[in-house]
Amino acid sequence: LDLSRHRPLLWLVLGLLVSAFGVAEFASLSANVGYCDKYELKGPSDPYWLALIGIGGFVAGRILGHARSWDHPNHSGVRTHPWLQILLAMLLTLAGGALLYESHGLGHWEVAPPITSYIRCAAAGQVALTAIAAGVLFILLGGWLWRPTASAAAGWVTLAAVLILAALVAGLVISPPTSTTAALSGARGYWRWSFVLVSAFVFCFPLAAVIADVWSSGHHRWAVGHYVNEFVRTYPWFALCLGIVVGAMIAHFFLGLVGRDAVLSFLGRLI
Amino acid sequence: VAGIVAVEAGLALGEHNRTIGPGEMVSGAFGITVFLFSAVAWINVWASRSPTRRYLSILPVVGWWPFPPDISVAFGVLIGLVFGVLYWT
Repeated sequence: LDLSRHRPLLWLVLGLLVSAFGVAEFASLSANVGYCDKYELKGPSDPYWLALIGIGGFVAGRILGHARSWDHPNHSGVRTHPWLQILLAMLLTLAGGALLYESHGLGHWEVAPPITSYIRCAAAGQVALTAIAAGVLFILLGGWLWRPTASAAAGWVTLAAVLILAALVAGLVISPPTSTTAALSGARGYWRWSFVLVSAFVFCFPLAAVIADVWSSGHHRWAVGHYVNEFVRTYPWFALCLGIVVGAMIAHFFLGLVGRDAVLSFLGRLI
Repeated sequence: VAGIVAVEAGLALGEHNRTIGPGEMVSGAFGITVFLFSAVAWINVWASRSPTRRYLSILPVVGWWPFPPDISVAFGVLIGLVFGVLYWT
């Protein structure tokens, strides 16, 4: 429970996050939006690396969870908390609204590009920044959803995940995917402020979590992740659904840049 | 219900330009799922406000699950990746 011991570290993480957020917002504001009308991949391996960073971040979040076991007493008293339920409901409502726009954008992609197109364009044009944002977000999600436990099965699952990752990295290094023309949307009408909004949406989770943890560290409260971990532990079926969303997002945003056939062909060569 | 209507409205808005394809269907299905989870979460918040209606809280009622959470999450991510590659890329 001694979160206060780690206050300087939390401030440091907060500073780094604010800096990354500032860079992302500046890049969004000064971006050449016309680039998105017809863009191509800079490197044929980029989508695979981004997907790897997403999955790797998720695994790293779990491994890093061991480091913060100091604030994580393994008791069964806390199940969930009203404010966490409210946050979850707000997040899901927000996600529902985003998907509503996504549905609309898919029908009007010539004038109102879907959110996916914004993220894919950013991933193609700003690979490094996208990698940083994806890494931060998925480390956080991994630490929240995939909390390390003491069970033997958990150890095997982690080992299997690390081995799969290692195989993918080896596959990328040994046999880089052939150059593919990205199946990009050709959407028009990208709006600069939408990039700003998407960046803000991505960074709002880690920023809010760290700000809450800084506050908790001064008030002898548990970290936010603790409550989320307890929630996931209590409702594993809900965790399964959230896991599906995480995996689908990684494939949809990043691997979607090269398309299904190219991914299957790459996986076939890898196997 | 409001969520489903909203997503269907979004799909219908798109329909006048072209027919609904797999992308809209998957996006709509995701939207409906997320809205349903959202509804469950909101009901849970409402139900937890008072002891007299706590029994209406949905999540504890369906809290049973045969697998441990870490297996669930790992399995979920794997399903999501396969689903994403095959249908949602």
